[in-house]
Amino acid sequence: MSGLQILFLTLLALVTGLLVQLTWNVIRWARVRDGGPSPSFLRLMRGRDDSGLSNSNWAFYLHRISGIGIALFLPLHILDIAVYAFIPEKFDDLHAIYGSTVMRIFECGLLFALLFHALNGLRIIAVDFFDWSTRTSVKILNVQTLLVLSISMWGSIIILEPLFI
Amino acid sequence: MLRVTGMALAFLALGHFFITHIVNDVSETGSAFITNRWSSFIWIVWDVLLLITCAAHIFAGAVIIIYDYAMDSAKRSKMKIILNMSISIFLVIGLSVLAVALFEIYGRS
Repeated sequence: MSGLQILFLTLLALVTGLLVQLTWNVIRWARVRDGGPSPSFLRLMRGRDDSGLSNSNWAFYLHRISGIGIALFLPLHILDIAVYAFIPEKFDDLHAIYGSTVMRIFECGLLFALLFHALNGLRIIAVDFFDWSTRTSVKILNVQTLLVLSISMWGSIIILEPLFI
Repeated sequence: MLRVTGMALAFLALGHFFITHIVNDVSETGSAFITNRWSSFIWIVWDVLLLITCAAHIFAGAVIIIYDYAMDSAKRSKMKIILNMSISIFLVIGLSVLAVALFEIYGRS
């Protein structure tokens, strides 16, 4: 593995560590302020279910976490295209790391984060624009989750396929 | 601001990902692919808009995260300074990458 690839993987590991720490903080503060990203089991057992309102807190926190994840990954991507612009002869060598197993799995995660963040964001805009009630927006959330999971499954199969041929 | 850039990004970023990772497998997207892609005007405009919209969206989003999670006013101002510097560096590096790459592709012909 060339030096640039090792550098890239180190930065990627740092970014992942930072993401895990920030996710932990988001969830910790969610518990303190909001009753948590999803209702506790006890609450569910008692039957306090107000039309799925507190059952969809997770979408708010996952929107934040996926946004932070994408924002942390982006400088790495800019830096590797910077290698293309400034040191062109080393770019193909560095880019080969994207075809490795680890990076392909990261790409599937990135696809999921992008899709969820984008579709959830569009849903939030639509809630404001079309003046949907919370019930309607939760129904749309269910449709959105189905879309996100199916498109990311499809994309992941395409991305991971070359590993299995 | 978040909503306008967000709507534009939903199209730009998902399209960018689709072309570079799904339509073309990532092992084929080396220097030749990038040179080829940036020979057409559409992809250059796409990537420039993508970069600028990303910077704006990330800036606006990060301001919200800082205000929500940095309790202390001094810590907040420090984080805002770091954020301003990071976004500026991000934009400078990104735009210079595009400028240098385009000069290489078009300037030598």
